[in-house]
Amino acid sequence: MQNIIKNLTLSKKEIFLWFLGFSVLTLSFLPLITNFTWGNHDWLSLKTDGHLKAGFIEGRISQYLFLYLFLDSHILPILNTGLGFLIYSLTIVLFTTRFFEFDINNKKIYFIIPLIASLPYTNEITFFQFIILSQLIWTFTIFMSLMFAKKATKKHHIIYTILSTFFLFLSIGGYPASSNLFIISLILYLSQIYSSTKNITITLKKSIPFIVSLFISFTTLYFTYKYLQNTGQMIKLYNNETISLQELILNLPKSFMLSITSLITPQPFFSLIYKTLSSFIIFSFIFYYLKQSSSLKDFLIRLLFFFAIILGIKFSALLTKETPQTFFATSDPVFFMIRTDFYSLPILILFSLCFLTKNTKTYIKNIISVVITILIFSNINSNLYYSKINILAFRSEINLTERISDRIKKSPNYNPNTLYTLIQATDLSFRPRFYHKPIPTYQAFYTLHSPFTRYWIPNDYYNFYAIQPFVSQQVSINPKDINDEMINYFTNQIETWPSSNSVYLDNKYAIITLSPKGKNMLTEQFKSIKSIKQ
Amino acid sequence: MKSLLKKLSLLPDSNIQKALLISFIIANFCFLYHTLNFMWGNHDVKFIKEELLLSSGLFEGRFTQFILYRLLTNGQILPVLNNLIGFSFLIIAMYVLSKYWNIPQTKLNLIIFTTFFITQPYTLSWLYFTFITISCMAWAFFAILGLYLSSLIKNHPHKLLLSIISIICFYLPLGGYPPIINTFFVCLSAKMTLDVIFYQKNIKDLFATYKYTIINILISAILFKLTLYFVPSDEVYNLETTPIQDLPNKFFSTLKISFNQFFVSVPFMEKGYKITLAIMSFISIFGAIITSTDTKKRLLSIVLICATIWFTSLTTFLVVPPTEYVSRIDFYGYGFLYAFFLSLLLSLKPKIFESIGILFGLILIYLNILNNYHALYVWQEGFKHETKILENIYTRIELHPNFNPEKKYRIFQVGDISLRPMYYNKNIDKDDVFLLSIPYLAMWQSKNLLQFYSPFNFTSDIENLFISDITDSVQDYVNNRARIWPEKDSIYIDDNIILIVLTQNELNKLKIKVNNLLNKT
Repeated sequence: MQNIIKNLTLSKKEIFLWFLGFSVLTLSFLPLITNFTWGNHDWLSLKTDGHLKAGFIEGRISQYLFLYLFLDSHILPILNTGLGFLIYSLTIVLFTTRFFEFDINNKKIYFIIPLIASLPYTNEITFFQFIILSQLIWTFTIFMSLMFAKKATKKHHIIYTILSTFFLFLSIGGYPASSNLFIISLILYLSQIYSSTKNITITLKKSIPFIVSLFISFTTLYFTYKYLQNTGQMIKLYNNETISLQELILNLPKSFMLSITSLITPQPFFSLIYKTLSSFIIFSFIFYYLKQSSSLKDFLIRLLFFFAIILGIKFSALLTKETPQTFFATSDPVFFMIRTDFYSLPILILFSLCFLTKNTKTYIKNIISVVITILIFSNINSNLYYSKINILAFRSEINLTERISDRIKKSPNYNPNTLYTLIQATDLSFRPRFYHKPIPTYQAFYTLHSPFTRYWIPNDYYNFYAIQPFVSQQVSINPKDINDEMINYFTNQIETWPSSNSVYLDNKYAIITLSPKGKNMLTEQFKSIKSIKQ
Repeated sequence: MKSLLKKLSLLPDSNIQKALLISFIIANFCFLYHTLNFMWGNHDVKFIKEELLLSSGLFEGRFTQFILYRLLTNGQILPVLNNLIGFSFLIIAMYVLSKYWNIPQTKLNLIIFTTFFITQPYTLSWLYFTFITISCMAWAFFAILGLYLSSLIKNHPHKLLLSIISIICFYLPLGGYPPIINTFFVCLSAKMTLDVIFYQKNIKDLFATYKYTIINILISAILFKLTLYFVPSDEVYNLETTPIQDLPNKFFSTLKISFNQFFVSVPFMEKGYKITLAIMSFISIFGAIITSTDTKKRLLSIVLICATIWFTSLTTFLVVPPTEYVSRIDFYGYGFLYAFFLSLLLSLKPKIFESIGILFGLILIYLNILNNYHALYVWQEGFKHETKILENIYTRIELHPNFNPEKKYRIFQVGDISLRPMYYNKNIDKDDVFLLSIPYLAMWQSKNLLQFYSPFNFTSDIENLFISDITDSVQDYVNNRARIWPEKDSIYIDDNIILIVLTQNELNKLKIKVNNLLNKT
């Protein structure tokens, strides 16, 4: 019992580091926290709360668990993000001091922790309010899983392995890509073991509880998906489909190259300078790790670790099918998804920095100190810039939604007792309009391009501020309802917003044409619906 | 870095570090409502959306104004950080000033001295325009650093190096905001006063020590003027200096202004507050006089105190446009003057004066916080209300049958609506445009304002009204049909221009302009 209490108690230095990390992280996103913006999946959850089973439909069985436990399923301003940040910043400290057991008497740790806490990978996590808390807490549950697996190598092998499996299953049951953190931490831990023992057999033995935990949790998840699909609670979606083992192996070289490319390719809020400095840290660590080899065999083993690290940071991308181009999916290539990088790159950068500040010559340590300082400042700038863009774009989109709503209700045909089928032909996303830099190739959909409203769920946001709901859940035209008025509109009158002919209203349908792309989409869809009727 | 600070006697011990941290926390608390709400002023619109370039200030001769923005925030105006960086510069500035003026370096003294200055409502004037918050607060730091380093030159082995650095410290703020010259001379004159009172220095001693400061300021001013010859600036109001023949008259008028300031109430610095400041100031002057034993020194200190007071109007003396009672200029003059009087109280030998200083400091910090929160509430309500009007104007434009978002329109806003005064009901002697009366929806910003939240790029960069624009339709609208917002005919749109009529005054001016243009044809 005393041991358990001792293990759970934080030292003064750990508490201070936690406070430091939390402060810098909160400062970076303070405008977002206090202005309470939300993402395009959040509208319904904000009004009706997130219930425990809400994630089942896409196989995210534990997604709402912590929202239920800590916040009674409410999405609350400040608390939602604040609590998540508190736990995430603690986790960073615990990874440093308890899992990797780096020396925190090194003064540079007081800069490393704030740097890791403020890395811009968190910005995409803050887009959706309904999952901020869980996405951040998975880092802690993964940590717990890793710690139990680590303890399982010493004693109580079975019980600790079961506990490790439980925590890992909890995490991947909420967000499968959180397994990236487990994988990369395992690889780095084993590289640490190998570095100190120089014995691959011992290293592999240490990995057994981790591998068992991984295997059992993923197998359990697989069967859970099967059960949920058979009982009709889960549908087959792009984000729970995996590739075959054969495809995985064949894709390894391409995956390796894509992983390297993603480390050096600028993305929105990840400037070329940031990518250069962060990849400098990672590759310097790998270089010095390889440099430590004492023989060819040692070098080859360390080289394997290098490949494992590069592939491990994109573990979820290795397994996932490429995202299809559908109206509800993101358009980010799987190797360039920032919210999956959130689970691998911060921990890799943390490990790299702690390694470099211990195992290199003074001049390298000095260079690293300069890099750390630049990056902390750059992170805070980048996150605040992200916050600013989100706040301004959110206001713009809410204003637009209000104007559209107003136009519908001021129409002479409007009947306040009708629940209209509202068809909004595409979205207008405002965040890119406030992003005053060249937008790099890989778009980072949720970080920059996704609007705060999505046209396929109009009832959620149009009814949000309405005194009484006026939009139904239907989003398509029934061919039986096509009448002459509608035909005339689509054939002769349809225009794009803000023209007076951009809004059509009859006794059942409200159709809004927001953009030229939307106009083309509507007219084409109408032609095919009309042909069905005919 | 530590050894350098130690050599310059600027290395703070742990007590001082705690004092500065406490001051920083209090200062941020004082303006928290502004920091968290991310408010901005009517110059900021385009810069908030886009970025600040190094050249953004050149048109008005402010060639260094945006160096710090490019260095620290990559040209961005960032919520939270903008204020944090600005206050950081002010905190360090006040620490250096406390060293320069030799204020007893106790924790309480430093907290009161630093917090009092930063929380004065003059600071609000630099929060109004977010695009210059960091620079204009940083200039105070550079100015004081320059003064401090210059004061070390006399007994320092590296005279030339210190001089060069001091000149740079003076030159940078002059190139950013020339009224910083008030700070140079208010703080210098205050320093001389303190030397006479506490160190029994005479004119000869003062000259021996501070000639370097004056020379460095003069060199930086000359460099500043020379730079202006090469900077491609426009014909702007704020670069015009007073003709030499007018200087004698202006001296007396500015002397009157300087002393009047003690009693003139301005927005968020009402009569009671000003009188409290005046009482503090007069008690400190009284204390300085009675503690001085030598009559000559007493007279000299009185003259220097009067000079210090007059220097708060130095900019008004030197330039043509009226700059008296302007809060952001008074920040550089009066803000430091009051800080000087407080420091005098804290430094005087009889303990009673130190106690009075602490008491006044605490009362005034409390009043500052109150005044600032009042101001920020007024600002926020005005901002929200004017933004609502802008949204309604934009909605009406969108609904207008002639509006085509594919076109590029020249936007002419006829009049401003300033709504902050609606939420402020105190009696004041003088208005202040930045603290209260200028609108967020300024006429000359209309195209940027309308464009800000719009999904369309429908505004043209051309701002002129051409003769070809005055069609029969425009003429008829302006002379016969135009109404004042929010009436039905307050917006006119044709193929080229959008007119938004907000006030009768400006509509009358527009009628004259349109008819003049027609007469030219």
